[in-house]
Amino acid sequence: MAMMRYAEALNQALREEMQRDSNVFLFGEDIGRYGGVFKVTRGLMDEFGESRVRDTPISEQTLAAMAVTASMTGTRPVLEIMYADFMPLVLDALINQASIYEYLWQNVTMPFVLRTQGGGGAGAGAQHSKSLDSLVAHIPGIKVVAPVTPADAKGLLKSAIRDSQPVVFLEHKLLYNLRDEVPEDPDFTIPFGTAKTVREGSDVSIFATSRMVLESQKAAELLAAEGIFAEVIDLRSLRPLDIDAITASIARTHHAVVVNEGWRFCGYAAELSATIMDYAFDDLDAPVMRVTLPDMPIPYSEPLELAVLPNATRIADAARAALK
Amino acid sequence: MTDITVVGAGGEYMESVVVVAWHKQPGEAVAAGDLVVTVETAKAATDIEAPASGVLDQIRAKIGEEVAVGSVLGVIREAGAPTPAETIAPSAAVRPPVPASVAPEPLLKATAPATKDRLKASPLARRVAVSEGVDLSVLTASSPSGRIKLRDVEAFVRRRPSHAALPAATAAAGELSLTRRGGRHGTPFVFLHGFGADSFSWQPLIAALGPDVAAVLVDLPGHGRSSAVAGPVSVEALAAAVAAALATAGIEECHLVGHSLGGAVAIALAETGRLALRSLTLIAPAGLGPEIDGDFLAGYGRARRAESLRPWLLRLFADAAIVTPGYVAAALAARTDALRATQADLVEAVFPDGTQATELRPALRRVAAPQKIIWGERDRIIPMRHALNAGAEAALHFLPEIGHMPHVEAPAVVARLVLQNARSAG
Repeated sequence: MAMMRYAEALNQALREEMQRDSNVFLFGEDIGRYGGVFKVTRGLMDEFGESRVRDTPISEQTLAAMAVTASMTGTRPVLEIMYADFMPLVLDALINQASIYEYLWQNVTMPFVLRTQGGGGAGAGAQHSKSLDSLVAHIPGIKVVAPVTPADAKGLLKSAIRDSQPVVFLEHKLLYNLRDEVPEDPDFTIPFGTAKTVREGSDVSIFATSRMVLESQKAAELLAAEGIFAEVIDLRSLRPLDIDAITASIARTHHAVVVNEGWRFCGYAAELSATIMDYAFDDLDAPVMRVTLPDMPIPYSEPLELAVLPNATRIADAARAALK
Repeated sequence: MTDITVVGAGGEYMESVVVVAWHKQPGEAVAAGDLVVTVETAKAATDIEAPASGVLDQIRAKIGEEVAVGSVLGVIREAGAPTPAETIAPSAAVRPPVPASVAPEPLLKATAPATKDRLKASPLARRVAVSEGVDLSVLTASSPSGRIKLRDVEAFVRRRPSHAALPAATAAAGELSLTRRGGRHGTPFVFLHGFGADSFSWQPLIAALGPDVAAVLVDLPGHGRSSAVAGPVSVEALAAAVAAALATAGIEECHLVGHSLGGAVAIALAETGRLALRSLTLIAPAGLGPEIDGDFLAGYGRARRAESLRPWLLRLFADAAIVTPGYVAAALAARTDALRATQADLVEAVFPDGTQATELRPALRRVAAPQKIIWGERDRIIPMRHALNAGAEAALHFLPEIGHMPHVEAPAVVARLVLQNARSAG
């Protein structure tokens, strides 16, 4: 184990996988010489050269098509899209190419990873703060993961690079400086579709993704002071989803709160809520509560931004409402 | 105006009914005896005839609606009498003409009972309520949402006295079916029905006793939903099976009410000493003399059609009006070939050659609990004078103009006597 930041854990995962497999290469805007805007790729161009760590022009649509076609030729590209807000530009490659070619043609695999980061709370404004998880998790054939801890970031990124299918890897801009223990085993990977219980509780289950896991843990602290014991589950993998972990927790607590930083209407939280209804309806003692961003742009002004982002207070309120 | 009700159409066999079909429309002429409405009970569809001639004035229970026994399903008005709408309507001069085909519509809407709000309960509360035998409609939601939650069901289950671990609906305890009705508090009243009947036969008496009485209705072996006894059939074997079922259900102390064959079983059950008996109420009990209407036992047991069952049903009652075609149909629907076979064996063993072979007079005299014997003066199945064979401590109640079924023909009186007997137990 070594203490390191989330960004460093990602950097280590990329380095280890590039060392392990010469087919792995990175490309994206400002990831080479500059080391990436969040410094995830720092030092990798020096170590692996300009052909395996490529700076590209600003054209996300082209980059995504490149990832699809390069992966079809046998390489394992890792593409960085600087902000998740630009995901709409890559959706055609995901929806009409990456998710379909394996179905249309024999012997085609597309082992590429699309890394991006989203989320609010950094004063980055309406075009650089969004969480568009549901846009990508909506697509059959695309795996979507969203690690919260440095260890999960490393283990899931290594799994993503080794996976034979397209993976969208969702980071959060407020997590890059989070420091924690990270395993150093070069074969440390975390399988997709496994949620992690980060706090056990008996009264209400809080299912969260990405940075909202941290807010949910804070909410659980607030609730514990009132004698309400919340179980917090980090889903880690948005698709495939760990349905067994969800149903097992609800079978114990009978109350569910789902938390996602994206919009509410047709959002990822809505999908979680419907899935709970599908698999755990008879264990529910109250309607599933949703904590999300309101259906509106994220303001640039700090007080206004904080006013709309889901947080520990709102999550605790939702848990109390479920238990009333 | 004459109400169309379920009573008199096999109501003995029902708790509630669902309206299946109306055979007449409002405004249509009906003659007494015409088929007007079909209702579905727990056992069968039953046709209800018009209780009077006239015009079907109102349909109060719509198709698909569930109504309690005794509710008014519809109303027949005398031909020529004004409709309520006409009596309250403004004068014809100012009322706009209404096409005849749609005229009854507003009247129906005005008289249809408001549908009850759907009960709000969480999925988990519903699931647990079913497994615990809790009727959600009696619970109050503690949540401001008004939704019954698990905690409400659990609190209710905790408040139930220990003997109420028995589910509210029906549980096979041992091999017998026990049905729990009414309240959950206090010493339970255990009811043992007569030959060829089942726990449904107590329906009128249970209704007369009110919702607070904790009633346990036993289907005797080979009756209703209970399987036959293993081995030779005797009154003692029936009593042993009931004793075992009550023990399994955790019932150690009770007030015992038995009718006819069930009365004999009640005496034999008291004789076992396996039950703390608080009071004993016998309604036209068997076991107190040799005579019994053997023709009835054989004929009722054999009957497979309404035509052959009806004469024997008529023999049970002083008031022939009770035995409507609907009543016959419901009684027939309750009788299966399997029941007919096991009950024929029972008749052969307990009432051979139309004789009561079981002597329970000494056993009855040994009963220490308060005892009442209730008999209809016009009983044609077991002679009323058998009551005189009871001991000095038994209170005898003879009901004039009542046949072998006082609990059906005079449920209010029988209910008062049962409760008096229970109160005298202190």
